[in-house]
Amino acid sequence: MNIIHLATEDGRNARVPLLRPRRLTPATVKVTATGEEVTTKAVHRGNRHLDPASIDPQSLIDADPEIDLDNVGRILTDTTRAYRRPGSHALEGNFQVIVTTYAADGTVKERKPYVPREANINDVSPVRLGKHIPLVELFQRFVFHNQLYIAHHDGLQHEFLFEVARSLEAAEAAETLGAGPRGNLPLVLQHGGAPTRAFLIGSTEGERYSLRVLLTRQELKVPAAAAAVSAPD
Amino acid sequence: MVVQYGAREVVITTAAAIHREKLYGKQCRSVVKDGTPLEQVVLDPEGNVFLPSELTYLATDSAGSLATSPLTQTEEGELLDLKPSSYRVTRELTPAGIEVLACLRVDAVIPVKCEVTPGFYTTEYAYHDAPQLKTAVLNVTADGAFLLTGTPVEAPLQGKNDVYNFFDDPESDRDDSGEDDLDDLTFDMF
Repeated sequence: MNIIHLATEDGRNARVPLLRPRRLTPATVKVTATGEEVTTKAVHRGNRHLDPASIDPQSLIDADPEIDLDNVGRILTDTTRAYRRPGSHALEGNFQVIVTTYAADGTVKERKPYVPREANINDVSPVRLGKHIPLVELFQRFVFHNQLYIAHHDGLQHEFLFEVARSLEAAEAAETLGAGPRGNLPLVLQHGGAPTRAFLIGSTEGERYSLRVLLTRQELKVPAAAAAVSAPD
Repeated sequence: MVVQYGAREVVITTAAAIHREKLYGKQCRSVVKDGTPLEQVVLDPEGNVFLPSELTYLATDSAGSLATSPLTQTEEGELLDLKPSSYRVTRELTPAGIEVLACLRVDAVIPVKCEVTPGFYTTEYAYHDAPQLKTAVLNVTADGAFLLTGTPVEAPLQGKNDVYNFFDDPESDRDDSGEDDLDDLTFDMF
């Protein structure tokens, strides 16, 4: 459970729980014909230069590749990610992680050392409600890949959140959520998380309320060159 | 794909799904030391080092035998049959309120062309034959149309007492007026 430090335009604020809603479709697992659960395992393929999907007899004759008999078929568990110089057998430590930013056309825009972002939803500066945007416009402009909902710990928080939900419902609008001292920064939900834009929508029923934080990292628009695709076989 | 909208059939022509990086680019992490890019390897507990290209990922049972045609079942044990792709059968398209889209965790954005009036519509969608169909919302505006597919989530309503029930340990609901607790209760401060 996360906590969000939420503030309204009139200066009221509270630290309230931010929770993940339940999926409405049942969770599934893969099983064998006898009902045993299936798991995905890493298996050594025998030769890293051979792709079983595209192998053909002539290429086998021409290349005469060897099978790694010591490892072929070995199931690898509890593995660790490590790094080495190309062609070397020694593993390296004390390395630097670099983040390369590419533009939409594939050109490199920036390279800089990776610094994980700190979460900013439960900071000294609260997450502020900002601009109103009508609901229809909201869903015609943005794609919401995830959502969370706000709950309360006590009766005072319930009153505060109920009022927020009721005002949003009356306005038939969503409000932007912004972090940082000026309330204009995207939200970072956890340490090392990606910045994401967020909107708050609300509804009420009797004395109950629903406040949902819709998270978006994408506008609803087509890139410059959208290729057509045919139906699957 | 073809959908049934009221009495008429509507043809929806889909294009490739839109990924974020096509709109905004992307970020990739790499590892360097002294200016030299390092390659990633997989280290097993015995100290063996493998390149990722030496490994493949296979579905196996607990004994490590290959599971060639795994079936899908719910966590309650109900086996799910494969449902046909939306490109092979006609499914129903119905007008939807904004709430359907507000409760959708979108995983694909597909630009489409279709002959329906602007608004929100809902249907079920599967690209390939699949054990579970996705919820899809057809979002038609004057400028274009998109099929948004994803997983519906609940929109819980919070009553005054709901959260106490949700967060509290069930043990805390027990009656605290028992004999054992009386010794701890003092009124000295009064």
